[in-house]
Amino acid sequence: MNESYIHRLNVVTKLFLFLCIIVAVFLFNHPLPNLVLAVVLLAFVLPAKLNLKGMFATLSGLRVIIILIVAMSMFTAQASAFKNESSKQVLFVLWKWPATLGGLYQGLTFTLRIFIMVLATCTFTITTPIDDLLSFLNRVHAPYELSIVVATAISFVPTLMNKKDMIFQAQRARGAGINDKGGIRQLIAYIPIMVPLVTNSILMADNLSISMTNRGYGANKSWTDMIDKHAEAKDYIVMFFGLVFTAGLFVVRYVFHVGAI
Amino acid sequence: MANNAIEIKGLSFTYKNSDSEVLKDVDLSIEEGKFTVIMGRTGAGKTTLAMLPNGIIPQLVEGTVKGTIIAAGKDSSKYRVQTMAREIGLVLQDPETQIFGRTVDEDTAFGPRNYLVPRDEIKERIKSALNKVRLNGYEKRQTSQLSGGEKQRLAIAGILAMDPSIIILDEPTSELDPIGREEIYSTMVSLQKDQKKTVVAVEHSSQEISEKADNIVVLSDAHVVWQGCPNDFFRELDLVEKYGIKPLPVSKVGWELYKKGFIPKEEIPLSVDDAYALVVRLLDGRKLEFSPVEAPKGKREKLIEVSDVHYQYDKSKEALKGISFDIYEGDYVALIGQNGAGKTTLAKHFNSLFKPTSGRILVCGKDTKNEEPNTLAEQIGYVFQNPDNQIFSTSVYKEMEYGLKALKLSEEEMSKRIHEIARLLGIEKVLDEHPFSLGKGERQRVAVASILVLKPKILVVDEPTTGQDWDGIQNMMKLIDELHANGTTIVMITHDMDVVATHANRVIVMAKGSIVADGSVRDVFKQEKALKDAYVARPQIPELSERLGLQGMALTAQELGGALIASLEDSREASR
Repeated sequence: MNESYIHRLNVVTKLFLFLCIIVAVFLFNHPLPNLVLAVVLLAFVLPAKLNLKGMFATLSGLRVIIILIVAMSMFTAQASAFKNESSKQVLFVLWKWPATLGGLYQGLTFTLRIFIMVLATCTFTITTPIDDLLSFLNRVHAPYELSIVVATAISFVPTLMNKKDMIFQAQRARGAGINDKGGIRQLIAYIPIMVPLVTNSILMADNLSISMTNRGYGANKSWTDMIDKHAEAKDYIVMFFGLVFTAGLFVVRYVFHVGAI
Repeated sequence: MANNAIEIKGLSFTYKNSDSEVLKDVDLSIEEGKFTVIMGRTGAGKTTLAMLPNGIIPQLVEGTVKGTIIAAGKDSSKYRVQTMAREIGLVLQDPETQIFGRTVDEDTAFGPRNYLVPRDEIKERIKSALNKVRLNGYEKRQTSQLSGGEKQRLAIAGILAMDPSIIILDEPTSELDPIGREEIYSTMVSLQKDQKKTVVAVEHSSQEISEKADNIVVLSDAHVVWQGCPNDFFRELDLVEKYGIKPLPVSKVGWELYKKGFIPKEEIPLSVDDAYALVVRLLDGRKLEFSPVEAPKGKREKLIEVSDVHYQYDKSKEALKGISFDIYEGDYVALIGQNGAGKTTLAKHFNSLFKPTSGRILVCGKDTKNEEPNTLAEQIGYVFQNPDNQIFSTSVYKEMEYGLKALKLSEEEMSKRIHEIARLLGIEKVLDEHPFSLGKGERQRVAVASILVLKPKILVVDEPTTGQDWDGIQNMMKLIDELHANGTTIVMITHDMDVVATHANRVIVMAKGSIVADGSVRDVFKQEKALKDAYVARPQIPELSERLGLQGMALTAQELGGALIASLEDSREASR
């Protein structure tokens, strides 16, 4: 059902690519290569037609914080740490605080990193069944408590989102005009929600671990593998290209010295 | 002597950090291959009892156990939950937290995989488990897309796939519509009859149990107070009421007849068939007269006008298909229909949480297109289904204050209103408590209270009695009746047809996004075809009344019993 090509990749492949992305993201301090990375990642993810609506909504909810991050780093970045002279250029001075071009770059890089990480994580969780992940943890002989933690955390997300929507509706029905508030005020509107959300999640975590044990989880040190999800040829090819791409990035960064601020 | 699947001796249990015993000196034998139902008030210890045999209590939920439990031949204190669970399958209350798989077959496989059952056998088991709960063909469906009833059945399938000899189900039908309930019940019966399993269910609803269970166990205040054949129990109406269990409506008629000496206790009917046979015999060819007095309607203000409303969640799915009707001041509307018929979607349009894709809704003359829930809060109050999704403050007082703050009232006026409503709902004493420290019934009251402080003209309540015991249902309905008597217009979404028959004054029946019937309770309960289209079963008393061919339909046991006794007393007088 609606399986994209990302769904069909082996969990190991996906974890490997995820690792590549993490490495790549921290390779460059300059926003431009990170922007390229983001575009490349989007170019691979968008054709899979995943439901990323929720992710974009969350990100746009964070825009105030993102602006704050950029502003903060613009004013607080250590000019002496910049490798390029041009980065030390002062854009403008607010009261006694100079805003540097390098600082702006750094802020933009942080933002892009957040975006890339969120996109990669969402894509991974949307396209990877919990069972695949558990079976991977099983195969590398991870303790089964870890699997419980992973399973619990992942299956929580949609349930909590649902819960959040219902509480929002309840607040609106009682006269809260959340729609017309923007930015910070919208964030403040989240605070009262945290109470039932946290209470509920603790209760749910408890119930979830009870019902997993109730169905025999942990009866043995391993479990029946239902599908031979061994990496196939396409997985090796994808991993190979991932590796080559990451290696290429290292060359760009350290041989051609591109991407420092 | 028959073998016992579960043997409990001298059992007492106290939860950790609590000093009162939830179960006290319980001796209980559950016979192998039988269908046993555990009943009792909320808080009587039913769930605790259900969680003990496979060791979840006290291994995962801690506390002090005294006494012994032997289940499937094993002492449950000597084995791990995982070992016990293979023989004793437990379907927990909330299906949401019991589903781990992305697809239906992945989820069903979860249990047997943990026991290292070979892959091919697991595939066989998935097939047969899904067959038994009639989810065959659903293998590749996403679990998140299932309806409530389907999720409930999947939770059962997940346990069946582990092939236990005993299956315990904790309130498996409390959140379902009548069709969903019927499906779960027939599953349980076929498990017991065809698969020779021992089935134990914790339940609230009386009607199905009287027909289907072999045994019932009644808990009250931590004790087992009654054990035996359900029919014998449901004829003891004083006990039924005492232990907080919903009586069968026809048995109430029978109880009146018994008290007046017309029939012996054993003849108290429990099903409509029995009641019909009994009444025909007693009447002995005479005709029963019953003419209800319909309250005059007069000219009333139109509060909600719905004209040709369509609503689409997305392009493929039309949830409302051209709905038109009006709601007048003083209406007590029951909005009924099966899950997914569009009831909640429609109700959320009234306070502008949803806006029509096309068509128009006027609430007190205001077009909801131009309004937001906050601007309509004083006209229309909306109580959501689950109280826990609408409570978010740290004290009951603050909870009630939340909506008032938006109205910009003075501190004094707010406090006055809060105390007034708290008194009405009997929650004055808990105003400073944290809402989550209260019991479910009280939490529901807090949720209603936080809406009522806004003094809305119209109150929308979504399934106010779902998941509540008989005391809870009666208290909630008494409250809604009082609000209605004080001039609030009520729109109530419900699956409980007995509640509809005894409380509402108007019924709107929905099926597949359309209205299939709308009228007074009597009018609607006469329309067999519309009810059938909406998969709604007529409740016992109106059904009996129709079969008897009464002129006007009797809705409550009082109405029918009253008419019957009057007629019987007349003829007794005459024959003297």
